[in-house]
Amino acid sequence: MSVRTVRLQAARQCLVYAAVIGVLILSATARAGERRGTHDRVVAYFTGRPSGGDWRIFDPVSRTDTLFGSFGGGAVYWDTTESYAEYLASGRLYRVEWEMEAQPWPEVQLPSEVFDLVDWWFNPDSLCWQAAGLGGVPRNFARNEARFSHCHSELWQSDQSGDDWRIADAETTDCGGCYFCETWENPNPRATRRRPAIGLNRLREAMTIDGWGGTPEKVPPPVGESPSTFDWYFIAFRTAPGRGLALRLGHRTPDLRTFMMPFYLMDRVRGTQRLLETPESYRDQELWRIGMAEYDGYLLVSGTRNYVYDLSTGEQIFHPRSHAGSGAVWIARPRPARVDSIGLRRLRARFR
Amino acid sequence: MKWPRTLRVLGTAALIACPLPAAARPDVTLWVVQPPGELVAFDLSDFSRVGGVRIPPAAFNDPHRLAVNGASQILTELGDGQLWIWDGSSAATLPSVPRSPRVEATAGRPSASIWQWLIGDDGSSLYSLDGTSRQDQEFGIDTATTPLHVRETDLAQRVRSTVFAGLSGACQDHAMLSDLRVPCPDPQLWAPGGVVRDFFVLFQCEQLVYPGFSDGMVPSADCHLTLWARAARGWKPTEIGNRGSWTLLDAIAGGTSWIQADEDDGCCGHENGSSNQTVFANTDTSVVLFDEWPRFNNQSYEVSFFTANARIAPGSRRVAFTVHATAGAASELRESSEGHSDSLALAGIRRSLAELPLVEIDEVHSGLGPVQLLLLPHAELVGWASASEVVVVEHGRLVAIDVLTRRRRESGISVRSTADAFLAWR
Repeated sequence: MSVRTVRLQAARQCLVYAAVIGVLILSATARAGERRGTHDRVVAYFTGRPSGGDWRIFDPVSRTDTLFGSFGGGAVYWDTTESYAEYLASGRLYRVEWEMEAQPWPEVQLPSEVFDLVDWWFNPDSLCWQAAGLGGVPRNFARNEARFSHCHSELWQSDQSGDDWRIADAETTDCGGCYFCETWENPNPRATRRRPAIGLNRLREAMTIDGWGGTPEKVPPPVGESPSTFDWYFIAFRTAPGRGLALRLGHRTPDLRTFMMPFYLMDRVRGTQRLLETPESYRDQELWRIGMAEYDGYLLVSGTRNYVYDLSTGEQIFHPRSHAGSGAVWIARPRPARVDSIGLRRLRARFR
Repeated sequence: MKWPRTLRVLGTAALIACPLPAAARPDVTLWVVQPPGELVAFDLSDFSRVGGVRIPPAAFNDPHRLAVNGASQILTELGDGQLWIWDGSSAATLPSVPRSPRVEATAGRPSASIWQWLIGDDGSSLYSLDGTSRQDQEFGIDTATTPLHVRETDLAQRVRSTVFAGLSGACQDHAMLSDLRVPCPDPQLWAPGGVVRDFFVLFQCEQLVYPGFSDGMVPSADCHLTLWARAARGWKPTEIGNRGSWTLLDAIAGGTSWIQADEDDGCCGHENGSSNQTVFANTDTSVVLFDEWPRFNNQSYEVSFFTANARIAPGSRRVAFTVHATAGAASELRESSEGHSDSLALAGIRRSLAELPLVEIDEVHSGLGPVQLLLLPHAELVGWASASEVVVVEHGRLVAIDVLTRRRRESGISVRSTADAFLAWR
């Protein structure tokens, strides 16, 4: 056998070994992935005041609650790739990379003359920032008389640099005597196209049963519960229609549906029910603006109280240290903090 | 002469393999605080990113705390009794008050210790000032004498040498226009950019008249600056003057040339009590770079123009500084107490305010006044990139401008303010 033939055989053997090892690694990774799921989403929530609270991340898989940043904000939006978030704080728009240890960076100073800044967006048509301002027009009010006679909605628009702002349009509507102006009436819908973004409020709204079009099905009370003034309903999960929550729904006003404690996790396929823990809530308590969304085997119930349930056991696993009053949402897991210091070592070596 | 082919090939290979000769290496690196929480090094030749270091949020949100030296090392005081240091390859958190040496206890009086840290430029040194703060009057009149040290340590805070060891006596001063007694300012260590190259300045106050509580004597303090310059045999001190109301803005060449700014002596609701001056000085001469009242004719109005920062160019022939004011262009301007209405002067002041912040670049010749080379309205100075190029912030972006040819190089790098950018010289 020539030396060349021996070398060729050795090379072939190496290739076969490499291929086998590659296949083994790939199959092991795939199996691990199946076991763990993708787990690419976490629960994001705020604690404290919007102006200066903490932004926290709860990972249901590791059950870890991590501080994302000590910067409160309102009107939060993520970009559509969930690589950064933008929010309002102290009249300024900030951007923060959706990355652990990231710090916010000021982007645009919003006009200080706005009554109450309720929303903002970037308009891809005008390439300008726009902001929604809302305020009440006071009237001479006597005792027990509503505070405002009208609500005033303003559309503000920046120049392309974002330095100067002006009122682009405004509209005043009769609120029939009101204490609060809550709804911003868009004075010029044609001039307010928004750059696509994922809004925190939209995510919350999308979690309500009205938001995702859930159809509560009237059911008899779970075993052990007596009939009450409010009817019991079964709300099926979107990802597993055979399972869902059983609870009582209330209608305080036509457009305000409440969830009443307690909640039951129902599995219609197996015919099981489980009473769910709802810490810091009492029996028959009604919660407003509650939403629910399951992901990767975990259920987030979010609103004035927030719970995360492991759907395989029914265990409530979310115990925030501070009250997360503004709700919680599922969002992409923030990237780990980047380290980019290789170039610095080269730089340092150059200076030696 | 023709080189043999082999030699030519070897020569070419050597050129490729060997590092750049010292003369061709960059002398200065631009460091900029950038999202998502880094201090990023940029190559000044083309503003390309070299690499970044994650810095603590306290430093990110208050970049004035950062000091960057020419060896790509970073030091910041975190404000919670901790220092953070990047030694060029890894980060470490150190205590502001190291376990050893300890401040000697002050007999009979609980005291607050002062610890201040600067970074050396040699890649292996820190400098510390430790003493006792006189600011806390909770414990009654301060009569104690306490030690004051300046030490040179390695990056792990192990003491290498004591540069200065002295005593700091009881010290009180009187508040302006009253006989109210106030504690003297605490001692302070200063070096340009917080980096000790071959000098630093120690600021400390001493009592001139000890307060007599029954005879009504008014205490007075002598606050002076001592330049400590590295000499062949250790550190050599030189008194460079009393600090009445002036501030050092920059110094180079072993501290032998510096820029100082006189602060306004207006008080009690008045902010334009004197003409602010900025002076380029060395041990022999001084040149006034900026004199507020003759320049802005604003002595009748309650608005003060002042230099916020200044930098001396390599070679000491040029200086650059940023002018700010205590009022904006649209602010209401009151007449000063001894002023008189002057609509022409007021219009001129408003025009000047509308240009602020303004960067001025001057050429300075010994024995002559400054020659103005360039004025950059709506700009703030970062520093000198070379003997003829400055880096400024315009509209939130860094720009390099050659002060002789006026050629501009836009970096495209955004900053929140000029405090986000540093020029670290080798």
